Amino acid sequence: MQKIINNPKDFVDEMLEGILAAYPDQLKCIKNDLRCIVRSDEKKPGKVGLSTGGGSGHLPLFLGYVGKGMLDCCAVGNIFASPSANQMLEITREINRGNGVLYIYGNYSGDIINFDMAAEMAKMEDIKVEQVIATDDVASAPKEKQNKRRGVAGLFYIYKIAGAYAEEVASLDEVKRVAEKVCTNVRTMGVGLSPCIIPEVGKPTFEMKEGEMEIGIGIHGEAGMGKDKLKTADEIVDQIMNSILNDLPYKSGDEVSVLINGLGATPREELFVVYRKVAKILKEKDIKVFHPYIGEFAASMEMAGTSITLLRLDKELKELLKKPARTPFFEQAELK
Amino acid sequence: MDKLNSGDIKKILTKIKDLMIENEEYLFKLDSTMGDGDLGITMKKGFNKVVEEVSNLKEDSVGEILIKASIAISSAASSTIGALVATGFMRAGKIVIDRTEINLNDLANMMDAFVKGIMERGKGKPGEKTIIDSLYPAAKALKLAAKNKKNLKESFIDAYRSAVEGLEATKKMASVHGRAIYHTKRASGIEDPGAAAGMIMIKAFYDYFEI
Repeated sequence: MQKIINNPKDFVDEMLEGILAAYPDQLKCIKNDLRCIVRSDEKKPGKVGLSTGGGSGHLPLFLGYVGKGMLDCCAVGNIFASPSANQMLEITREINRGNGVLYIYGNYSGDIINFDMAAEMAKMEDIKVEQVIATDDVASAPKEKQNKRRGVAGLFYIYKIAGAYAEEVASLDEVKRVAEKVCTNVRTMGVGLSPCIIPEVGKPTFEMKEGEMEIGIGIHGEAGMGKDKLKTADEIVDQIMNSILNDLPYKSGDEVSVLINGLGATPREELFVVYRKVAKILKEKDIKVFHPYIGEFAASMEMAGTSITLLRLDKELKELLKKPARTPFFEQAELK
Repeated sequence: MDKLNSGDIKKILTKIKDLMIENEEYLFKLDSTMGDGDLGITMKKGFNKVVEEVSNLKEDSVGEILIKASIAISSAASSTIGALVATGFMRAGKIVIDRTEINLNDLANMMDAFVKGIMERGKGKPGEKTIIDSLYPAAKALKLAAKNKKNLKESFIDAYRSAVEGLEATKKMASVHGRAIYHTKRASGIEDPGAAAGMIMIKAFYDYFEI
């Protein structure tokens, strides 16, 4: 294991201490619990609270999107493990301004169990809670079983768009509606070229040989379409784009935003080689690109690989995507 | 004894805590074969907190005590199994929220709500090598005992026996939930640690009526 760490047991807490030391004007923890992260700027009266949570090891996901124009809080778990229902409840109480709280997170059983429990406890305290669960990973289940699909990089778009709308003091039902609209229109698929290591485990959690790849891999190394010989960038993009485009399906005349995400150990250079081919394919299909995002948005520790996400835009989603945002890991001035 | 009040419930919760501490090593060993090994300590922490929270509580409502227990578990036992057990206590508490005394019929209904809560939250059913596999048979036994108008002691002898049998049956099951699905080979022939924790909870009632 080649990692810059101290005691593996302290890894997550030390990472959080570092983040809080770096961005005290944007983030703080509550209840003396580093795992309960909330925005440190002033609360807007009447604003619906947006909450997320999930295991660590995916930065910028999940807590990296807590900030102006996106989320209000995040419960942080151990590497690849759900935070507790109680931590979710604590941050729910903290950010509730009387108009309710929306939970936005990925479709993983541990997270669902804990968020459901938190919601049940919050309701007993008369806090209105709604949930939107991301299921954008096309490779993780067939289309008929979309509710079994995992949530991956597409979460970024849900946070961004629901966050922009909540900032305008839209109601809980309205914010939930746009969040669900993003879910309906977003699709992702990835490829992994190397495994990742959980510090406390100390060795790779799955095997990937030199010259191999797995298309459709999940952000914890979950199986996708099976292992295959490593292909060229253009061939990989062709295969992924084919699956994504046919799934929604995205059609000629559509307008999309594209997100090319690095899984942790893939250089930006490679991501742009990927985008080059994505842009070409979209142009051939007469699908217009509004605004590409290229970088690391939802990593998987030090896994090499990438994922491609498409979001079909309508007027409403496009206007909300344009809005400014400022979080420790994502900043955007208003787009034209 | 044919009724339980809040004092009895507090004593039974303390009993669960004592049994969880006694069995920490046993649960650790089971969980290390198919999970991350933290089940024993999670249960110990969870029920320690429960006892800490409820023992000095001036509260006569059985339901309120169980809801307090639920919140204590979910704060101290931060894992999926913690959230599931907390759900069970929450659901059991909700149906006797305004009651200072409960009888066997109530206990059978509460046990049913406990197990159904876990099944709903965890999207699980019997036969999948989980905590449900010891609790579900125990709930069924309790319902039957209530129908046959047995006394509390006899009823919990039945429930405990069913829980032990249910736990034994998990040795032959294959996991479909959680990290255990990656370790099906190692876990075959070994009882499920969650089901063991469930059996221990039922044993606390059994022990309480035995003494």
